[in-house]
Amino acid sequence: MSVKYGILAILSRRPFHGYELRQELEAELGSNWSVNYGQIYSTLDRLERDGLVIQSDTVAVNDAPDRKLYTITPAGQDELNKWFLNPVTKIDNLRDEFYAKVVLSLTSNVSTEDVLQIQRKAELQKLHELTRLKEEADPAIELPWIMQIDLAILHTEATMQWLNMCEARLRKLKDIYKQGPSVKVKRDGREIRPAGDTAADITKREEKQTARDFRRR
Amino acid sequence: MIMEAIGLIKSYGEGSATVKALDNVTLQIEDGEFVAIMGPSGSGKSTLLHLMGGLDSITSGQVKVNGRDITTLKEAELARFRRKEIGFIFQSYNLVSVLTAEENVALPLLMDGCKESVMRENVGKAINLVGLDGRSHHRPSQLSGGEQQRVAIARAIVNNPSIILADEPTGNLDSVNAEEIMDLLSNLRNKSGQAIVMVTHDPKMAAYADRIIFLKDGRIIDEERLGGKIDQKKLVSKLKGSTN
Repeated sequence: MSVKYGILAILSRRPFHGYELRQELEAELGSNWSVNYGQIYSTLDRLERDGLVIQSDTVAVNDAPDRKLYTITPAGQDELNKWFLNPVTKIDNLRDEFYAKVVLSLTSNVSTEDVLQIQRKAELQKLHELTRLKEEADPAIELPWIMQIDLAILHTEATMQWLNMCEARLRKLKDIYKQGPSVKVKRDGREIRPAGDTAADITKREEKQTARDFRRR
Repeated sequence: MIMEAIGLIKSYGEGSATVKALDNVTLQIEDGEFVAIMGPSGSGKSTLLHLMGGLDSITSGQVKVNGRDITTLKEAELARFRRKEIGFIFQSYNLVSVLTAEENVALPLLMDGCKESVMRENVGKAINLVGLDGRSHHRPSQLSGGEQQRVAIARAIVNNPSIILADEPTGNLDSVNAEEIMDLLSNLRNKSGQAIVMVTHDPKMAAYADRIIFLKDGRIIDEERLGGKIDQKKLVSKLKGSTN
């Protein structure tokens, strides 16, 4: 997330000066989103240049130098609303290290099933700790913390579902090889060689097999 | 050790048509241990749970509960053993629809010819433990899914069994209710020290356990003891973000 929208969101509540903005950001989002003052002020400069915030008054703070107070403009409010109401489309798992590991293991001498199972156990360990953290949290006063743990739990679950899918796909691939190349020979001797097995082909074959098994009973 | 399965085999059909649902499964459950059994569908998870609870006949092998081999018990003895030693929780609750919550919980005690006064006390305690005070005169149809599963849990613990066997106990519940049921189960375990063996395909639920047994094609392929392998402080600081 860019600092830009964090600042706009905080300013949409009331005007703040730069120093307070940094504290508010950190209080709201946790220090994961921690930014230094330099970033705050350079972002504010850019926002001001683009007409999204304006400097209003300066506040005298004891004997410290006066601080500039920033206020969000209607254009800034529009920009913020747009951000809120647009989905996040960043797909960061495409460069996931584990993905690379699984794919590379397919053509290596380690068993991909082992790679998947080892990761599954690691994910379960993580889930276990996350679950403990959630059990220890107080739902009355730690709601944002619990929501963050929920998110981490569900991310972990998604990874584990992906592991299951990888395994299922490997199983299917093995079945395909077991059945040999899927070449059909017509009565007149012409061969029909499918270009490749699509998911639909595999499903259809499974359905036929199930129907055959069922009739056999 | 509260329960032990030795060389469990369960097969269906004969000759070349034999299908092995369980193939030589051996495992031990310690006192007060919470074990999850995971595996893809058709891996034999439920079959294993049924055999451990004496709900289904064993092709070969032994199941011992408190050192006693239950595979040699006659039908009537087995039924009594199940009521005394094992609490079952199922995905579909399995409550009697014409009975109230309280009456459902009392069932195992009734069948054992328990004294009225003892029964009242135990049922009251169990209902209280699962947080259903004030709902005890409702019928299952008047209760939510989460509440029905609470009744089922109360019924499973009313006899103070040494082990609870649960088959996908949160399978019919939404995620918040599922979490509450899991919190309840793990709290009960912590309070009364009953061992729990739970079959699940949901990793979020398995994460509550102390140990996970992985089943595939009727065999145990792996197991993992949970906890202690991840530095919780590091995890927290990673989640919260720490610049210190």
